[in-house]
Amino acid sequence: MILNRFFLTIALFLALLSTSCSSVDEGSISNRKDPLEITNRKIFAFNDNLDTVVLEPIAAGYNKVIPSHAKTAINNHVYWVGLPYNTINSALQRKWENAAISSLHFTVNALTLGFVNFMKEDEPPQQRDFGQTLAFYGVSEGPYVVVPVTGGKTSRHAFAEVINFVINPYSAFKENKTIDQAISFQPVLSTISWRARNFELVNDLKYNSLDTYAKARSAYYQNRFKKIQSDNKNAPSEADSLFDNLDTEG
Amino acid sequence: MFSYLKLLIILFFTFFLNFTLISNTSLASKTENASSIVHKLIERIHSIQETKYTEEEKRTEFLQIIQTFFDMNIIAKASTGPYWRTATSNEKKRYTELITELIADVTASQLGDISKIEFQLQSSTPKGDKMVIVSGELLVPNQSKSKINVNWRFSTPDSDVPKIIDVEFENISMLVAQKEESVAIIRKNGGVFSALITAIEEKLRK
Repeated sequence: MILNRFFLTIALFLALLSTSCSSVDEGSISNRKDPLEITNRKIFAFNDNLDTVVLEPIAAGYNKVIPSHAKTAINNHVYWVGLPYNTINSALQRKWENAAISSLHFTVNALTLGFVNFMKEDEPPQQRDFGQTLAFYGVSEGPYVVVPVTGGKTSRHAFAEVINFVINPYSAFKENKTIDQAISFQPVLSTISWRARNFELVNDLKYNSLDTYAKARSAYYQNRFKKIQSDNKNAPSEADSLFDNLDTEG
Repeated sequence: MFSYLKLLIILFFTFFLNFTLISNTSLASKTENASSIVHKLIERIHSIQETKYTEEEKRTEFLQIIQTFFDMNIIAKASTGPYWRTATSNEKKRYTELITELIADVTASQLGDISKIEFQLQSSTPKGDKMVIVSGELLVPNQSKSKINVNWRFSTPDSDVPKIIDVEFENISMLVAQKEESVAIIRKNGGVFSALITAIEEKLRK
């Protein structure tokens, strides 16, 4: 069953990539990391409309109706749910201490399913995902792809998310119907919680940009770069390179 | 002969010590200057937030802030990448005016209606000998995200007052994002710089 879902998702992902490749118009590509820009922009427009019609009103309502301590509890829970992935990926990246801290946080907070963070006084573990693991083992990031609903990312990151979805550490609880339903609701809950938490930032991107797609792509790459380079604090950022080049541009 | 050598060694070390002390003092004063400018900027924003201005007055106040604290010439140049060199001097001038207005508009819409923002300084560190980065947390009340990590990048020329050339929110450089937007618009229009000017004019009219 899991394998079927895995191959179906991979097939869909590859089909999406191949359709995108066939419609490239080199003349209007604005970024070398984004050879699929034309198709990506179409999917982005669909996602943007979906956000305007569905997610934005829900997130606005969520921010208005849910009291702040309940929002904190939900944020804590969403964070807690991600800790097993974090532990596995930290170990795969040989960040043993981070893996240990992450599993400690998971175990301690499991008492309340993560709704209460008993470890908030401690330094939280660094977030490590499977995309970072692939980068750690030298897999190249690949072209930028915008995936329906979940948004734009490098193909390495998109593939990593498929793997995250398929290798679900909670599948062990699948026999229990309540837990099964709660797990199914996780992606929805975390999406709403993320959108509500970043409500003004996302709206600023949507409504104050000259070219929302280009700005979103830039924000994604900058944020992703920081995550991939999190062990190398001295790695020059895009802004550093921009100013280095500025002197010589004349 | 020996005393000459001794004198030379002493002179060399005195020069070296002076040079190190002067350059360290100059770096220290640059970092202090930059962080005090951020505090002044936040005070100016407070005063706007506490005064009952009309939308238009608020926009004018933010425009003045941008013109005072930001180096718009560097920002204009950096935000258009390689296309800056293809622009005529009139286009460069017009683009600089428009991007200043656009930043003022966006800042006024983001910060104008908030009751009181605060900035908690974490560090002020030199980046090479011509830039300083002031880092801290912006505390924004009544917003879904009440703490935002922010880095202010200053250009610190020896002969002039330090000015802001980029702001990073949560490690996302606004200047890099602006550059990507500008380049995308110019590329979409066959490399014509004036298309960017038209796009900003349209945005400002909305």
